[in-house]
Amino acid sequence: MSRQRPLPPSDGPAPPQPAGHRIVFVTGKGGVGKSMVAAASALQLARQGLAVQLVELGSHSFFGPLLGLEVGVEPAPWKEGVAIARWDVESSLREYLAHYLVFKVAADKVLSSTAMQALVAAAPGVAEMALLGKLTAPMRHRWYTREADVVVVDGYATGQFMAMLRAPVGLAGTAAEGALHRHAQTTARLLADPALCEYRIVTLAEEMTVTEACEMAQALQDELGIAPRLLCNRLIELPETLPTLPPADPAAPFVEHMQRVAQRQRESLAALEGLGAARRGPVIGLPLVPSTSPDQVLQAMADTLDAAGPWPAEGDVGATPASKTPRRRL
Amino acid sequence: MRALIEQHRVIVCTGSGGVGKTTTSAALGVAGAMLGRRVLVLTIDPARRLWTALGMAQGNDDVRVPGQRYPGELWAGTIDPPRIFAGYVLQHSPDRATADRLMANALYRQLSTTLSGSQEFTSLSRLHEAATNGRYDLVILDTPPAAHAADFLLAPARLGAVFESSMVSLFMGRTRGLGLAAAAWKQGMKLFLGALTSLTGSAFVGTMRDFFSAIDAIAPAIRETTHAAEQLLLDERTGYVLISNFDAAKIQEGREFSETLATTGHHLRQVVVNRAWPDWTPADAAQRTRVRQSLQAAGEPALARLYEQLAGHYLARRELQPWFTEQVTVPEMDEVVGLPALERMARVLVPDLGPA
Repeated sequence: MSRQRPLPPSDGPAPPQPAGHRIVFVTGKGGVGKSMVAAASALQLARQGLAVQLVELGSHSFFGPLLGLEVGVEPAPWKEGVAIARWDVESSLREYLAHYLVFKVAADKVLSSTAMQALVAAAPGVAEMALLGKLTAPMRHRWYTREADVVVVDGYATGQFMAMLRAPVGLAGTAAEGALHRHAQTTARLLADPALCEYRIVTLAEEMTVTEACEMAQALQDELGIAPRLLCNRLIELPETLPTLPPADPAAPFVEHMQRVAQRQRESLAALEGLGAARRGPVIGLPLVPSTSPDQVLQAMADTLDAAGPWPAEGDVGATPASKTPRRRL
Repeated sequence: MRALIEQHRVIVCTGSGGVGKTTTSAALGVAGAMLGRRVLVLTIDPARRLWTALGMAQGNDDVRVPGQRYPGELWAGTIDPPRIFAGYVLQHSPDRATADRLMANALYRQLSTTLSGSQEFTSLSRLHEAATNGRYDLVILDTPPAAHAADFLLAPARLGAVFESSMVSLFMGRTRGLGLAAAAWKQGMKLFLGALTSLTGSAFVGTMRDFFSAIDAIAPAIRETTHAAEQLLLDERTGYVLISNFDAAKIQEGREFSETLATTGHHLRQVVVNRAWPDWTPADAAQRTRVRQSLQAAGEPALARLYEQLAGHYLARRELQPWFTEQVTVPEMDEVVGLPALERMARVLVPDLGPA
């Protein structure tokens, strides 16, 4: 048995020139279409000539069956400039622990499935730290490279997403010393770095989802000091004024429904605008695309994101394309 | 759907966030009471959606929903994980000091509140109790919020790993058997604990050791409940309902989930596609043409174009083949709040409920 090797050269003070890329987190209440917005965001950034990795979290792939790809831990190419990967907790934790543990053979032996499950279950925050650790590894270790200018994370829904962001701070408190403590502190600092991380909250023009989006924007501003971008999904473009039809008119139910939609959209957008300093840039409205083709929907959403540019806005740092020649528009 | 309600003892409502799971659970509860059954709807929902839908304040014990005039009875209950865990601890600890020590442990506090699997475990514990106490004919469980419908099925196993005797032994420093195997086991643990200590510090490992020695006492009861609840879930008279909508993601999730249920021996009885299309969606091409012409005649060409687009979209949905044999679609409804609104939804879910 060998002795413990010294910990890798990392996790002390941040390296002077971390090899890294930007991170765009996409989140929102369940059912608002955040995965679609994440994919459209990836397309939008690729159109700017950036190499994008779109990352989904968890044990089930959404993008694989939707786009007809095999999505696993290794990024699978999708469109030009965009590759998609899926990170699950267990393999990320294995990668993370193997890195810190004495040597890999021992790691595999010790980390039997039961021990792994119990560790994940008994020490809340470890699962989240494993994912965040993998995400921020290129910013912490010069030797860890990832071929991307931007990573777009199709994040968890609101509550679980905030739990993930809070995990480093919580863990730094529970484990008051050791490598994990230092690592948790560094990760918390990186997540709160506006030059590195961008947060996009997706909502619908409905009261419940808007309320949740506003609360979350405020929480991000309070806890990380970063204002998120807000995207209002599935908006219907309506004429300024809608007619009032007699109740017997065959079109009356449709027009009445559109009147309610118009009202909801007005109120929702006003509430989102009202966030003020807790919101970065204008509220972006994304259209309801009446199509069952994912490709059509995603291209239309990316067009809208493009039109809302220049994006990333001035002041964003760290977006240096990996390839010098800008890519063609998709 | 009527058979589901009349012939089952337990209905488990599953589905991922944002599909209207809680509202559907409440509407199924109303349908059950209308059919003469004594029904309890159980939720862990932190958003208090059930209480809003029923138009009442949240209580700790089962509450008979006020204002009902049904042949049966409608009750509502909340699942409170910290309270349920505390019940186990107090009942199974040898003395009060042991119970207090466990409840003060930092990891226990996380176990009983935020730990992955604990919401699902306490739901099962509460479900099993309610289904066997003789007070109800039917218990409807609104499963805890999850990213994926299948998470509910996997969670107890994850929590079970914490209570595995080998894990407890590991932190207690117990060995299994004699000879070489035990020596290797001991060596492996030493390595594991050493690595964990260098990773997290000795204080954290100490907390963990305390935690595992303290839960030693309640582990058998937890395992027993998990086992009994799993049997209940596999019972012929326990039916699963998957709540979904027309999002590509939800349809995909539904297909995967139905396969998972089939292979694990659970019974998926019904798929509910919520908010399938707005109520103005035309029934056929002729109606679509009439509406468009009417908008054009009213001098609203832009609105007519919009109508064409949207009507086409929703008609295409309507013509999609159902992916499950027992599939009911529920059109978009304005906010479903209060018993009359729930009754309207119940009549869509169970068309043969009889006269109003």
